[in-house]
Amino acid sequence: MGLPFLPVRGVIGTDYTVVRPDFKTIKNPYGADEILVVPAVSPDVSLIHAFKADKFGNCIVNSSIDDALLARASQKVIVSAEEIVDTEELKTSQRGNFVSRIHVDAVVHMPRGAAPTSCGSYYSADIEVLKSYQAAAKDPQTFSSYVKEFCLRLRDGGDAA
Amino acid sequence: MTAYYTPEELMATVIARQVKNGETIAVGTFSPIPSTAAILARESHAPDSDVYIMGSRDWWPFSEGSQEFFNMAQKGRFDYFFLSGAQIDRNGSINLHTIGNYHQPKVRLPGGAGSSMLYYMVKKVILFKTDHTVKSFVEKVDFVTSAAVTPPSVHRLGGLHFVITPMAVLVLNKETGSLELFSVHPGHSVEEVRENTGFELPLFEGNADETKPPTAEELALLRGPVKDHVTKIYPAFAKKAFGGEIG
Amino acid sequence: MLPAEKLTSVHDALSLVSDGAQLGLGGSPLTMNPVSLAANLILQETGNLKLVVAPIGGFVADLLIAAGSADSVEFAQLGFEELGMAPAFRQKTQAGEITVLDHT
Repeated sequence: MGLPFLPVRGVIGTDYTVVRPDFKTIKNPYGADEILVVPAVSPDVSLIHAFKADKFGNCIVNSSIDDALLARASQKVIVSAEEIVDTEELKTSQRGNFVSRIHVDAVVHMPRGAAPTSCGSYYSADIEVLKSYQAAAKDPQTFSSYVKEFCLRLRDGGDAA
Repeated sequence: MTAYYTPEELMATVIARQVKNGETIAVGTFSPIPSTAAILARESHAPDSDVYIMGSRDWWPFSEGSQEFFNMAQKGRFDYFFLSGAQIDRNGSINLHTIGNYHQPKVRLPGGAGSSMLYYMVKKVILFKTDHTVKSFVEKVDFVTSAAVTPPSVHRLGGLHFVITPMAVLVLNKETGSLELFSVHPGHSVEEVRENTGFELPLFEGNADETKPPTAEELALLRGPVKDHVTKIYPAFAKKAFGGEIG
Repeated sequence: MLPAEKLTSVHDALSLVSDGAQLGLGGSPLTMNPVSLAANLILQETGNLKLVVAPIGGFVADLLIAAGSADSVEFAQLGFEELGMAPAFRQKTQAGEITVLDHT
């Protein structure tokens, strides 16, 4: 929204105000109460995985999460997409939220780009891989090489398993 | 003959019975028992109640992400919401952040997920716990994720309705600002509840009744249509939380 | 006149992320995480990132934390839903190795 801060209800009287000195309490200028204000969050770059995108950066994202909001809030946005399609197909799509190209800086075609997490009707979460990730984390000695292997498999177009 | 039921079924039933038809019930993350309760309320005596369950497909009518959900809460449009915490203290504060020192905690928990606003702005917040131990019910939480009692200068629409655990129901005494024992579930005693609570627990209005267990009708609904719905949202929970055949 | 074309290679796209950048991550704990993008970013060794999860996240944030790419993480909640806690997030926070910015 281009604003430096926004108010939020509640929070005063919790330990958020202790650990976040950047959250400020002000007097509500239109009422008798005190109200919390929080600074704007506007990431330098955001990574978003979309269902579909066109080559201009228009895309369709999952509507049950806040990706469209993140895209609007970020200074730059990189979108990976399951499919690259024509603009017409995006504009007539019934599913998901439309994100305008004005918010997007780069589009990369990456089928299975969300795996092992789920991606709408394209694929569900791979619970076995997620569990083996959690199990690998139990051994700090070997976990970093597990993570590196994991990333290498994805980069080379393989599956996370 | 009293049918066998699980603690989860009892807790969901106690919560569901509170709901008046038409009231709006909102459920957040990590909340299988409240999800079960909300759906049971809809399937039984509150068929006109709106139910919103974060993380579900069927109970999420919103158009874009979570903003509408949180804005509805902030506007005071939710009658019920549910919160939990690794710790709950004598004053009804909850801790979803850290056990021990905040910057280098003994245990790091997932975080508040909006509870610092929700606890204040939802008309009736029900705290639920899947265990009842001295470690969970403490004199003072290590970190106040959200609080039941706040100074009058802070705008607050609602707050704590009651606390439910596998042993008991607790309520806040508004004068003292402390939790008290309202009812004890069948199979448990006042002594047992007090032994497992890390602060002194008076009896609310001098008396603690026995919590009314689920009826055969409520259990049939729980193990039928409610379980089918819950399986889609919390499959692992649904496998173990519902009892078998009744009677 | 058509608008600018933005379809590009993963390498070129990720050149938009500098060391020390505040990096927003889409998705919710186990849904729609930009995992392949993050994996490539990790292999490029872009580091000192200040992660922002919008607002409830899980897997990809944990992966970046596990890889040592992140100095800090800002979020409303971080976890793996029914599967439990995000392990690297938990370990590094408990060891005091990462700055945590809890948001409401």
